[in-house]
Parts: sequence; structure tokens; C-alpha cells
Amino acid sequence: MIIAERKPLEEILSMIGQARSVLIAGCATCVADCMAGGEREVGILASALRIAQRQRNGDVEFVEATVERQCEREFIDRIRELVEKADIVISTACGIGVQAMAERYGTKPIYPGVNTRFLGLREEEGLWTERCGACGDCTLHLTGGVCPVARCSKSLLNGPCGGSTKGKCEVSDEIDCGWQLIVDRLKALGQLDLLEVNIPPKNWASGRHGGPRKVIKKELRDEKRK
Amino acid sequence: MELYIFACQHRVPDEWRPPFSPEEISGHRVRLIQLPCSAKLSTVQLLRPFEKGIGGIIVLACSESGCRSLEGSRRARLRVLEANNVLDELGMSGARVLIKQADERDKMPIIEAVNELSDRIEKLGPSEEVRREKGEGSEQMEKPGLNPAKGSIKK
Ligand code: SF4
Ligand code: SF4
Repeated sequence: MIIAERKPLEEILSMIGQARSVLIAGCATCVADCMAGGEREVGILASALRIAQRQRNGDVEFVEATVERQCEREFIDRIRELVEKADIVISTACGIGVQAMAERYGTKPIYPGVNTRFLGLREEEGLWTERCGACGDCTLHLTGGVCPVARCSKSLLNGPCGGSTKGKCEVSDEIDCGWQLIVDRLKALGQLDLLEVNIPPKNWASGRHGGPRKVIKKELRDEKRK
Repeated sequence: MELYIFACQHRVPDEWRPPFSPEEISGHRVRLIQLPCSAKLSTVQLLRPFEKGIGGIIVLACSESGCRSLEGSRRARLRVLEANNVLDELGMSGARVLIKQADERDKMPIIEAVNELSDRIEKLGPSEEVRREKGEGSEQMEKPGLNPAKGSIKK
């Protein structure tokens, strides 16, 4: 899922400006799971902003609403009335949700309430870690199911580098060496021979470097409808 | 000063059970809210009373090993931490939400907790005046969205 973190309150307050009515719009999927922007966090943010208003003698009204997924139009349409009434919307969805809202409500300022960080998972209570760099050319079958792009600090496709020490990365001893994880997993799978495979350089055109990406499924596109 | 007390039912002295809860302790207005378990308490419940300008909150939970819902008291501790972190970010530092975990239902420790928290808050000053005293944040930003903040109120 997409992992995000709430922005500092001061930054969010700076976005409010002269607005008198603010809708705080949450998303009940990824950002709820990483406890950054679901219904619970919308409540906390709204309460914090109300307290800040009290400190500043302000009279801004904060309205709360959380939809199932902000990246889907069907869901964001359900809060149309609230969006239209508000001067601005602070969205606590990921950057996709914020943009989906902005595209749907063309004349309404939609501001981000969270920083979208990465694609990852919850590892422990209160700890989320990165797993995928969305490179567009997955090689997990060659690396024991451990991603070299997201989990090696240098994204080496044929590692480890010389800095790997006792299972830790030379960038920080708080980071597991991604390639140590790959070797351990290949050992467990009895596939250590895969280390002999020289993974060729990736075609990064399928990554961010080729500009904004698109996935097109021709069979799902009804040409007649256009 | 007004204080809220959220208490696990196993921490409320028999003679203080609703509707016989005290309205005042040590000269402070108190509102005692009895919960089936401290785990019922959410972070937002710990923040909402501050919207009205109360002084602080006491959370009475059982010990973590003695909690009848196993995880309740531990969860309450983490939510208290989260609420205090939000208040810190708002410039209202100093742990205005105080948690007391113990396996007892006497009055005395509650009175002591009220005294401890009220003393602490008196030293900090009323919550709604913190930023005004510092001369911060009274003005609204001129251009919405064009004022990237340099960081949180207190980091
Ligand atoms: S808007 Fe973002 S956070 Fe919400 S479901 Fe979609 S991808 Fe996940
Ligand atoms: S190889 Fe690419 S697609 Fe596969 S997990 Fe890693 S970054 Fe994601």
C-alpha cells in the first residue's frame, strides 16, 4: 500500500490562509492503514486545528468527511455537497487522492494534509517500511522476492556492494543490507545459483525516467465510446 | 481550572461512581467519565476537550499486567502519548494529559493526580494563551497555500 505521514500542523495551518470553512477529507484505505489520513486521523487533525484556531482567536469551521478511496471518482462524488460548501479542502489521502479530488472539483483548492512517502507495508506496530520502487520492470523472481530497487540503498541489481557488513548497509547500521536479505532468502529457497545470473541493466524508461506513466489495457478500452 | 478524568470502571471508587462523581477536587472543576475499559478511550477524545480550553486530562487505567482486557491499559498509554505529541506540536507542551496506571480504586491517588496535573498546568499557563503570550500566530496568512511552513510549531 501507499505509505504517508501527516504534515506538520504549522504547514497545514499555513495553507488555510483566509479560508473560513475547511473540509478535511480522509481516505479509508492505504492512508488509514498507515494511520496518516483515515477517519481516525481526520478527527485528530480537525481537533488539533480547532485548538490552534482557539489559540489564534480564529473562527474557521472544520468539517470532517472520510471516503472509502479518494483515488476513485465514485467515492469522491459522494462528498460533493461538502466539498462545494467548503472554501478549501485539506485532503489526507496520498498524492493520488489529492489529485483525483482536484481533477473532480476543478475550481476548488485541494491541499495535501500528508506527505506521501513510499510503497510499503506495516512491519510492526507503528513501523512501516518500503518494499517497492514501482520501477515498472519487476525482477523479484531473480532476487528471492526481495526488491533490490527499494531495499538496497544503491538499488544495485547485482549486489552486494563492498560496504555490506554483518547484514547491515554502509549507509546506516539501522538499514538491513538488501542484498544480504536477497542472499538469505535465496539460500532458504535453495536457489543460490541465481546469484550467478547477471541481471542486465534495467530499462528505466518503464520507471519515472520515461516521464509520466500510463497503463493501457486495449481490451478494456471501448473505442466506439470515444 | 477545569480538568477531565477518564477512568476505567475498575479505577473509580465505589462512592464516586456516576451519578455520584465529584464536580470539584482540590478547588478544580472536574468531570469524571467512567469507561468500561481505558482502551475505549480514543486519541481524539483526549483532544476534543482542549477545543473548549480545558486545563488538562487525567486518564486512570489499570496496570498493564492487570488490565482485564489484556491490551487496554497499554493502548491507553500509547493514545495518551499521541495526544500529548499533538499538543506539543501546538505549543502546549508539558504533558497536559496525565496517565496513572495502577490496580487500585482509592480516592487518594486520584486527588494526588489532580494536584500533580493542576500544579504542572499552573506552571505552564492556560492552554489557550500559550501561543498568544509568545506573540505567535495571531495573524492569518495572506495568501492561502503560498506559505510553506518552515516546520512545526515546536519540533
Ligand atoms: S487515495 Fe491513495 S491512499 Fe486512498 S486508497 Fe487511493 S491510493 Fe490508497
Ligand atoms: S523490482 Fe521493481 S516492480 Fe519489482 S518490487 Fe522492486 S521496484 Fe517494485
